[in-house]
Amino acid sequence: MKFFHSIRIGLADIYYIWRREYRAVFQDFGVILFFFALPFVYPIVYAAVYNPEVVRDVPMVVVDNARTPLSRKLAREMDATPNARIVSYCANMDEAKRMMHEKNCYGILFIPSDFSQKIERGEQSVVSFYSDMSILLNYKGFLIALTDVTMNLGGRLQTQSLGGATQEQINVATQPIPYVSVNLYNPESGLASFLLPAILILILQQSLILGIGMLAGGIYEHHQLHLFYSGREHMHNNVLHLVIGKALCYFSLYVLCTAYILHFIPWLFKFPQIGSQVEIYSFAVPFLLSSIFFGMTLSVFVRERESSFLLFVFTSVIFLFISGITWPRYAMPEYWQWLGAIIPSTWGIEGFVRMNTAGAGIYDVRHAYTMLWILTGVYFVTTCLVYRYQIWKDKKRGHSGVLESE
Amino acid sequence: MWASIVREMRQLVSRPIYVLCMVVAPLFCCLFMFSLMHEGLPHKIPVAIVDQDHSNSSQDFTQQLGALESVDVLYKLNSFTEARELMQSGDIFGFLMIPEGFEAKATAGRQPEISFYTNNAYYIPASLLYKSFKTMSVLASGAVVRQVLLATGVEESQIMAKLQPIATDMHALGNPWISYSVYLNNSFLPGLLQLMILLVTVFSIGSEIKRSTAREWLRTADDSIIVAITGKLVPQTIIFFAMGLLYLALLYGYLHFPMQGNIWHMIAAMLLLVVSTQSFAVIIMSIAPSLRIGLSAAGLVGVLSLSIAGFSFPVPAMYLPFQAMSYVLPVRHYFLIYVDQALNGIPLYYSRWHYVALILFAVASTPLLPRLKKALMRQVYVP
Repeated sequence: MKFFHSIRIGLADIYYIWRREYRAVFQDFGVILFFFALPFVYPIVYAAVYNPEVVRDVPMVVVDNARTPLSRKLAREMDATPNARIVSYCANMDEAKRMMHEKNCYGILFIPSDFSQKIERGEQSVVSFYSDMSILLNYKGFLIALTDVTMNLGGRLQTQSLGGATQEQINVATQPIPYVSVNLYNPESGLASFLLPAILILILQQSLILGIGMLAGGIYEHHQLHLFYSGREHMHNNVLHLVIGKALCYFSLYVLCTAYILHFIPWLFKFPQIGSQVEIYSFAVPFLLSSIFFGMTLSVFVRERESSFLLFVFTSVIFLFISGITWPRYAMPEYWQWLGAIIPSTWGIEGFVRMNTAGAGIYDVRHAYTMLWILTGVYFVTTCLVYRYQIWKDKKRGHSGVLESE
Repeated sequence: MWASIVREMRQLVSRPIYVLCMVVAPLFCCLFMFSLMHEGLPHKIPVAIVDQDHSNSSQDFTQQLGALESVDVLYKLNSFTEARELMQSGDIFGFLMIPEGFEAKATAGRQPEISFYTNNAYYIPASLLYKSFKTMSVLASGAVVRQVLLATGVEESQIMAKLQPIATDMHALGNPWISYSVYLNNSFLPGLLQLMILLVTVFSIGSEIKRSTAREWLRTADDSIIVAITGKLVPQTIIFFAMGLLYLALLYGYLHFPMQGNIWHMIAAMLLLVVSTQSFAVIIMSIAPSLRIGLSAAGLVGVLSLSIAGFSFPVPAMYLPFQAMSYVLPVRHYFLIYVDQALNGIPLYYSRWHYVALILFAVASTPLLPRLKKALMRQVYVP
């Protein structure tokens, strides 16, 4: 009977803390901003920044020293690719360089004077391209365009030299083994479709950490911690009730945010979204829980409401890189792989990208899913320990009071 | 002024959060970024081969692909479905299919088709794989043509011209290794520094209001806001500039990243980045003299800078409002100076407007100072 009694008390306590935490959240404008405004606005801003997805018509210039029909054709075909746009024909390299220095163009195509002669003599002809490297996307676009254009033109030259052959013979002669390339899951190779899923997950985790940190900082600087352990008969010494009650509050608040961020935003901006939503939601459960307990554990470092910003904002960038979305995890030094493995967003991003973007089922991401449950367990224990520690310290300082007094 | 400086220095050492945010965090960020990408490019990207031909030619092809530095053939599979499943579970980033009858068709001139698939949900590995797969496919074609040409009596010296009449010579100016480390660290580290400067500056001013010490602070400067703010920010300028110099020393000295111009131009740019960012933070605090709102704005600007300043997605390709916004971010101008002065090493003349812009940022806060002073005298804290 005693057992049932303590369960009943436990539930009552948890319910009490849960309700009380709602009040704490909604009375704190700063926390409301973190829990609602930030998850609402940031995804839209980020999606808008990267929404053009691809870079088209990057300006370039041509230095055509050959001035033959063939060299002009090469330049024209370069211009006709979606990646590049010729803004000027320059008389010499100096002029072209000046155009580049003034940021009027980001690439220079140089066609040497013996370009057509060499081809007519049956020799290989080389054209040079100089690309600005400040933005890798520009370089990549130029490289793909130039390779495709010269290969196509070269193929047609080969065809001419065959003379009188049938189309089939020509195909076999120029490209005996054709190839097709398929971009899976992000067909246009868009930057938003690649980056946004990771950012969305990170927004969920970071807004939780920041908000929970701010709440904890407020409690610490106003010496309100004792309100949680003294003044109510059955509350004392039961950290479990405190931690579960608070976590339930945050979790319930984030159900809506999660639906908005992981379901609505990809739909709104038409990002790849081919996974099963039910499975994504069930994947989100351990992700949210582990993020909440991660945030509650980290909140021990926050001594002041506002230091939450200073401590946690810059970690967003670190967490994004360590998740492996840009630089693949297997290529990182081992110690960063380990650090990444204890951050919920790493597994959250891995699982969400694969499910949402690549259409994997929850079984395919079982590794990430299991890791998130393990992290939930680990951070639940650490949360209990740091709360226990703080209460112990607080008691030693001798703060006391009544919970309802506030 | 000296009194304000001394007072600020006492505060900086008395609270661990300052040391953490001004020294530890920037240091950690740079060690993290450098060690993360120390290879420059991810090598040995795991891929699978779906070989449905099982012939000598297909095995040769697989071997040649495996010999590439960028590729690691982890799996040899028999069906598309297996490969797709490995892709979805993240074990591989791409796969290549050799169809049944590959060798027979190739010998008979019936054009067997190679197909390759890359997982473009992961951008960098996918683009590297695309390049490797494409090269290998073109080479395979070339090998066959070469055999045919040799058989028809074309001379060895003419074969390259027949195979590829127009060759290309691509010059990646300033970063011939196409190293992501060079590319990302030169922009993201100053971006992170800007973020920390914004946060710390706002925090240090806002804390005076919060702790009701603003009047005391003004008194050390004889109630002159200009002296007070200078005295407060100079110690921070020195620390942040020292961190910036450390970045420059590591980037261009220790790691030998491209530095085609004069290092002093970058040192000047770094100093201006620090000062103009501090001024930016003062502007934020003058407009919204509340610790929390100020920090929210600083965090927003600092984090969004990393995207809007156009480090990865070029500014000209963004929507117009973002293009305009990018130019009111100090780090955007620093980035463009870096491109001109370090990466490309072109005359200082072409970067002049960006230096001017940074200087303008640095002084732009002065007209707003009286407004900040009023708030400091009131010292009302909004939680």
